[in-house]
Amino acid sequence: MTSRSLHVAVALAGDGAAPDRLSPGTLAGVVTTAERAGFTFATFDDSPLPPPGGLRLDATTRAAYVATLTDRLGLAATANVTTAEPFHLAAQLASLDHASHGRAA
Amino acid sequence: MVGADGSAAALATVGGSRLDPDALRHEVADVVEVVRRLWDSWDDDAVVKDVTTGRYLDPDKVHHVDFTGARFSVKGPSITPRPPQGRPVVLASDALADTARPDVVLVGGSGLDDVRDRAARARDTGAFLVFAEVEVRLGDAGRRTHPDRLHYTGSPLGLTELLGWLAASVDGVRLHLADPAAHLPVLAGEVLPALRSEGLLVPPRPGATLRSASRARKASSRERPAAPRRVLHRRRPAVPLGRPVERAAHGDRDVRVGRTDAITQLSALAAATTRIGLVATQNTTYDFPADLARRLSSLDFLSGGRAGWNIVTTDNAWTGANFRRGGRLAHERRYERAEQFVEAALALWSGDGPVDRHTDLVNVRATRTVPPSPQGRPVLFQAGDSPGGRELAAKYADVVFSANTAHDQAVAYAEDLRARLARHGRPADAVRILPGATVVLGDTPADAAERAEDVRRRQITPQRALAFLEQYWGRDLSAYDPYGPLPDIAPTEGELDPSRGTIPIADRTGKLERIQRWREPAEAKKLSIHQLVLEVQPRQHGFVGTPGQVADEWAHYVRTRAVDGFTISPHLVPAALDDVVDRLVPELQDRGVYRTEYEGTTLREHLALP
Repeated sequence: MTSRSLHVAVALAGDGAAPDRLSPGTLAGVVTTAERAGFTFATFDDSPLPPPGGLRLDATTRAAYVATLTDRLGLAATANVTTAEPFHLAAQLASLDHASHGRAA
Repeated sequence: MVGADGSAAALATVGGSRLDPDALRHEVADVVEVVRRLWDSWDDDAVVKDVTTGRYLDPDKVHHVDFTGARFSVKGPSITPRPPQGRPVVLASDALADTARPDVVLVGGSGLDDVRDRAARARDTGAFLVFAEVEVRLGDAGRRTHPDRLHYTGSPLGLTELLGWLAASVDGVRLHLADPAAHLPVLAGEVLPALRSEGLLVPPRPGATLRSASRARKASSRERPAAPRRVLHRRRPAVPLGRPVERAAHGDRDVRVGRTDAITQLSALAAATTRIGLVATQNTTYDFPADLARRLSSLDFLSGGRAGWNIVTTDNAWTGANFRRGGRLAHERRYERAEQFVEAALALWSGDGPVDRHTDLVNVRATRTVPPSPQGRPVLFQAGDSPGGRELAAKYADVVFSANTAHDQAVAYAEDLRARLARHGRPADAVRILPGATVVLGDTPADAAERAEDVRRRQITPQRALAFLEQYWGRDLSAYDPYGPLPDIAPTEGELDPSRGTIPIADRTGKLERIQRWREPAEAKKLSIHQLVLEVQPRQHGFVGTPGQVADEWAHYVRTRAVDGFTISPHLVPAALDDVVDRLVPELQDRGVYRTEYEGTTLREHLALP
């Protein structure tokens, strides 16, 4: 196969041991840089359990926070299906899609 | 992005136990399926926003999903109008491809050949797009953190070559950067521009949806399941957008409004604002404490300490039929669960180690992962006016949205609340009282009164008049014409439930006598259903007058300690709110009862809470 185009996505672990690593300014900086670079989407990692660094914010809430700071980057929030209420999960991701004008995953 | 942790520790956060591999597969398949069906439960043209009839949505275009899975069932429809993409894109690892049926499959692999083989197998399962997982470390060699992903260490040029090679076997790559803050600028400055100049990268256009940008399954995204759907009740009226369904739904089968998830929406607004408090109404009956506490504190942290939680309970069967816990909580134990729920959230926010609580109402074992915000934790709001609600407020709330707006009621409420606070050992000024208030302003008193009547006529549409009578009749009245005479059938015997619905508590007893009292003038004056309801529906205590009049009245409330402020419910957004901001606020500032600038940055500071 030749001359195929490639989508490039970036995984944002979003974890850390110090609150500074999680700050809204840090998050906004990383995401807007990824958008300017031409990434197709960013994924926001998550788990119901603490990450290695101990600290991490909820993924859908992080993705929603950057929805108004971006206008083309896809926003993919990890949702753990075993601990979610499916009804809420559908509403949360639909709401992320509304807030981002159709960029949710 | 589908996460699928079935471990004992993950399930313990919601009081469950470990899922074996087979149960986990079923769970993934069921949750993804029902989420898609909920997205499909509103037709594209369900929202009509018909101003003349006051209908927000067309009930014929909103559908139940009636899903029964292995571990839960969901009746639907979704509370949230159809997403702009129809269905947001679903991503999952190739291990979940045949259960989650994602739009985008992410494949790992020990080497390039392995990735190519797995990508081919993923396509065989029906995946539309296949992405390779690649760990990237620019510069010195480092540790591979994930055994099942390609791992690249080296220069930006070498990475560009690797991605160019991968373009032949996958549709995209997901990069896991060893140091995002340092690597992203290099990718932005060198790697992606190089790919673009070779024609290998097509960045998304501004305003494009992700589905169109990724060219994912456009045609099938809005397909309907073939199973027949029961159409929702036909003649229910709609109420304006934004009114919580818990309070708006009188029946057991109805959505009349749409709304977005509060925390998700407020988080988006947090980035667009700097000072205003962001209060999310969230339910203790149908949520899990660890999850909700974490989402609220995430909003609080990201907003710099501006989050609040309006604690509500609900008990209607329609709502219960959508949740894992649906129907399991006896009505009279709602506030008991609410208290235990709030205590668990406070314990998680305190950060004093893991929270491990197990009762028949709350089951949680979890550790805090969100650091405290500048205000420590979200501010707690409470709105219930029943004795259970008042006790919950007196024990835990920082703010109450009281329904007692008339001055004498407000004074009595404040006294009652202060007595309850004292019984719980809290100081009298521990809680701010902010009753709900409607405001209609005019140039003269007569002008304001005329506008208020006009607002009332517009709000009580013929359909809402019928719904108002249905609450009292306890029966389906959809066959009756709102412009015709009162229903000729007898109401049900039972009284209105004292703890639910939108009718003031004082009006929920003696309904048969009340209906009889309505029949007499209706027959004598030949009133239609709509005309009668316009006459008899209780008037909310509203503030109607010139800006100066309303400001004088509010200043009196504040100086007599009846309230600490008001929660304005604008009858029309944004026009009615603009009126308050432009005309009422300056008058309040002139009287010295309203701030002229924010003195702090957090919601707790704005409210001058201890």
